[in-house]
Formats: sequence, structure tokens, C-alpha cells
Amino acid sequence: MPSIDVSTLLFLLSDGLLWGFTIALVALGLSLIFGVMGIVNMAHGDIYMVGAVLALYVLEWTGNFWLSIIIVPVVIGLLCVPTERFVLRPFEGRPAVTMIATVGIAYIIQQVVLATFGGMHEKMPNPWPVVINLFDVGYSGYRVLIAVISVVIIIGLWFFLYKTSYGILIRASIQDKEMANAMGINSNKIAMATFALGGALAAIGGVLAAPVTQVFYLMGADVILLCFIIVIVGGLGSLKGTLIAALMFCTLQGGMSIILTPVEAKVAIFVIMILVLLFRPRGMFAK
Amino acid sequence: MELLSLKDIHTYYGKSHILQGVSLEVNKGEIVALLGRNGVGKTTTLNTIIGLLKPRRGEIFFQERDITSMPAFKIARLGIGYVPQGKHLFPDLNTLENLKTGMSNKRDMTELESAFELFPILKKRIKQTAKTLSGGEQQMLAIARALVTKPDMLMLDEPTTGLMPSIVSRMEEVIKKLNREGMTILLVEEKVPFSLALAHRVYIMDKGQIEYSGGVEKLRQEKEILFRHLGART
Ligand SMILES: Nc1ncnc2c1ncn2[C@@H]1O[C@H](COP(=O)(O)OP(=O)(O)OP(=O)(O)O)[C@@H](O)[C@H]1O
Ligand SMILES: [Mg+2]
Repeated sequence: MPSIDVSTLLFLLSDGLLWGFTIALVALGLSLIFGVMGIVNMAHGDIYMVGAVLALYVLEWTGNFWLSIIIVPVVIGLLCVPTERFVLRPFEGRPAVTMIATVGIAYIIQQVVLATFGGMHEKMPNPWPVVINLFDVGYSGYRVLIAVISVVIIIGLWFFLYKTSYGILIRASIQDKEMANAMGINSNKIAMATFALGGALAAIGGVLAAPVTQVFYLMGADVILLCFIIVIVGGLGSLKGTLIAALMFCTLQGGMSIILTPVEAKVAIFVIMILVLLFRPRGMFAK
Repeated sequence: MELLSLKDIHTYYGKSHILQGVSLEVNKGEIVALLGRNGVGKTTTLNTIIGLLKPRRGEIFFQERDITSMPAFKIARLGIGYVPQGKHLFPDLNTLENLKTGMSNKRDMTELESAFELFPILKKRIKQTAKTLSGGEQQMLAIARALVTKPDMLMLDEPTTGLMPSIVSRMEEVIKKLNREGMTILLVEEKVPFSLALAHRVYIMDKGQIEYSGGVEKLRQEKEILFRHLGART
């Protein structure tokens, strides 16, 4: 057992927490889609991946990475609209079939990216090469910046969901879809908007992550797994739970990396999930 | 004038045949009570009208439009306010947010104000989440939420279940007042005296069929019918 130095531990915990805000964006997208539509979106990780790939293209075409933060989620959100309408809605009310349909979407996305972008790992140059001091260790300013951007987006999302009329309708649909319908709320429109919003959140996550990870056509796999765990542990249908679980898991993952190898850390995440579910079978914030 | 009519409605839950040819009418300005013992299909009837359940046979007309295969949200927007059994409030939304789900124009304060006039206590609970309200307050909110949709007809499913007697009589007044102001009401109830005090006409259901229909006075004289279908002594 190596001796654990406190400032290293604090550094790793903070690194995990900062990353947690970006993961929270992706997980909140997944959570919203599940909450409103009852759909387990197996393509969510691949939408994240496409976000990262498109960020590379935007950088290549315009020379400006920052534009992709706006362009990519808008493009992905718009693509989600017909996907919901023509691929998912025909299977409404049949969760198993819908889930298989999203697996199909995931494959199509992967294969299209493989055919166009290719199968190599790409590294994007750091768009903000500033180094800051974090617990006496030099730390990437860009990582802090994306945490800040993620926080701003989360605050915006919260404002949208909790303070606007449309947000009320989305939350009502999460809580009781049938009753929402009986109140005259068009749940098809809500589902379409939610799927687009959820996809856009995954895509922003991918864009922000692109400069700090290897962009690769299978990069969605790890993230989707983590996000599933986060949504389940947070409590299905609870956005607050998703947010807190995202921050908690990423911080823990950071802290554990001081003693565990990455593979062991993945196992540990599962163990934590099982422990939480033993005591709270429906997740931390389930109704 | 006929506002709502069901013609030979058959509704199923999977294989079980629940509504077996229900026909009924509600005229503009009436209070119609739909009575019957537990499990005879009263709630199923209301859910079929609002479109949450689709009948396999039969037709439903509301304001002379065929709504049989319309999605629920469109039926609601045509002017049916639904207060379901068990209230079905949005539990984590506060009072105001619950009301806003029913308002097509979220800034139109007149509907809100008249709801608060009817139930002043709700104004004090405006920021409180629905699940933390008392049973009576929840029922008031459920009714208010249906009213802010500006319906032409209100469907109430057992609005007095579990309420204290004082609140039950308050509900009776409210229903009467709404009706005096022109609201058409389809009321499902277990409490026979409560229903007879309010209704103009009564349908009695048994095992998925309408077994009796008629005016309240006639029914009062045929106590044996009440007893046979409802087990009620009046
Ligand atoms: N979701 C469901 N799935 C299957 N059967 C159901 C379902 N809901 C109700 N039923 C059955 O349909 C029948 C009619 O139920 P319904 O709720 O319409 O009765 P009700 O007259 O409203 O009774 P109550 O007075 O208890 O509210 C009952 O026999 C009930 O068991
Ligand atoms: Mg019932």
C-alpha cells in the first residue's frame, strides 16, 4: 500500500469533481429522456461520441473550436427531431422494442462515423493551453473551464425546467404522463423536444470532452455505462438525483485512482452501485 | 342540447371486457351522476371519454364532434376538465405549477384568480408542493386545475372520498355553484345521498352496463333499484 499524500488525494478528488460536471450534462440528457419518454436510450453514448467527432470537424473547417459548442448541439438536436418522430414514436408504449431501436441507432451512428471519420484515435489540440495551480500541481486550465461551462449549462437547464412554462410541462410529463395528457398537454411534442434536448446535452458533453480525451468511434461506450449507473443510483426520474450522483461518482472515481488501476476503479463503481441499491433499491432520490 | 354522448361503448383491459355497451348522454347545463358499486366500470367510463383508454367498439361525441379515436390531449382541449379518482396531481410540482399545467395561456391571471376565489386556501399554498397538501386541499387543487383549462364540462371521479364531512359539504356547495354558473358536470360518486342532492339525472352502472337511467325524483321513489344496484339505503 503506497502512502497516500493528502494534497495528491485532494488533487485527484477535485479533478474527478470537475469532470463530474461535464458527465452530469450527458447523464442529465439520458435521465430526461428516460423520465419523459420511458426510453432507455442506448444511443446516448454514441451521440456524445458524435459530438466530439463533429467538434474536430468544426475545428478543421473553421479553425475555431469554440464555435462547436454552439453549432454541434444545435445540429444534433435538429437531427434528434426526425429520429424521435420516425424511429421512436412508432414504437411508443413498447419499451423493449424502443430500446432495441435505440441500439440500432447506436450502430448506425458508429458505422457512419467509422466510414467517414475512420477508426483511428484522434487527439485534438488543447484550445486553451493555460496551466493553473491546483494543490501545488500544475493543472489544465481547460479542464477547469469546461467544468465552468458545464455548470453554466446546468444552471440554464435548471432555470428552463423549473422557471419556464415549458419546463413545468416537461416535469409534469415526467411525474404523470397520462394525467398530463388529460390536461391537454401534447405529450408527443414534449417527447420530441425532450429527445432533442437530451441529445444536445450529450453532444455538448462530447464537444467539451474532445480536447481532453481520445476522439474515437467507440469512445461512447465507457461514458454510457457510467451514465447508466449514475441515472440508476440517482433514482429514475429524479434530475436532482442524477446531478448529485454524477458529481459523487466522478469525485469517487478520481479519488480511487490513487490506489486503484482504471479497471479496478470501474469494478469499484459497480460495487458502489450495488451497495447503494441494496439500501435504496430505487436509487438515492427515487419517489 | 346534447354535449356528450356515448353510443354502445365497449372497452377492454387486455382480454377483460370491462365496458359492455355503455350508452349515456350529458346535456348542456346538467349535473349527471354515474353511480355504481366498486369495480363496475365508472372510472373506466371516464377514462374512455377523455381518451386515455380507447374503446374497441362504439362512438363518443362531444360538442357534436366524433372524439372516439382522438388523442387524450385533443379531447381535453375541446373542453373537458378531468378530476380523476385519486386526484393524480403532479406530486412534486407546487400548487401554482399544477395549475399552470392546465392553462393554455400561462400569463392569463383571470382563470387563476377565479380559481383562488373558489378555493382561497390554495392561494396560501401557492408555493407548496402538491404532495405536502392535506387531502382536502389536494382535492381542491385537482378541481381548480381542471377549471383553469376553461372546460365546458367537468368530470369528477369520487371527489369526496376520504374527505372530512365539513369539506364534503363544501364540495357540494362548490359543485352547485359551478353548475349555477353554467358548468356541465358528470359526477361519479359512491355517496348516494351526496349524488342525489346534486344531480339532475342519474345513471346506475352494474358490471360494465348501464342498468338504470332516469331523473332523481323517479329514482327516489324506486328505492328498490338503489338497493339492488348500490346496496344503498336512503
Ligand atoms: N389497469 C387495469 N388493468 C386491468 N383491469 C383493470 C384496470 N383498472 C381497472 N380494472 C378492472 O376494471 C373493472 C372496472 O374498474 P373501474 O376502475 O372502472 O371501476 P370503478 O367503477 O371505478 O370502481 P371504484 O368504485 O372502485 O372506483 C374492475 O373490475 C377492475 O378490476
Ligand atoms: Mg373508480
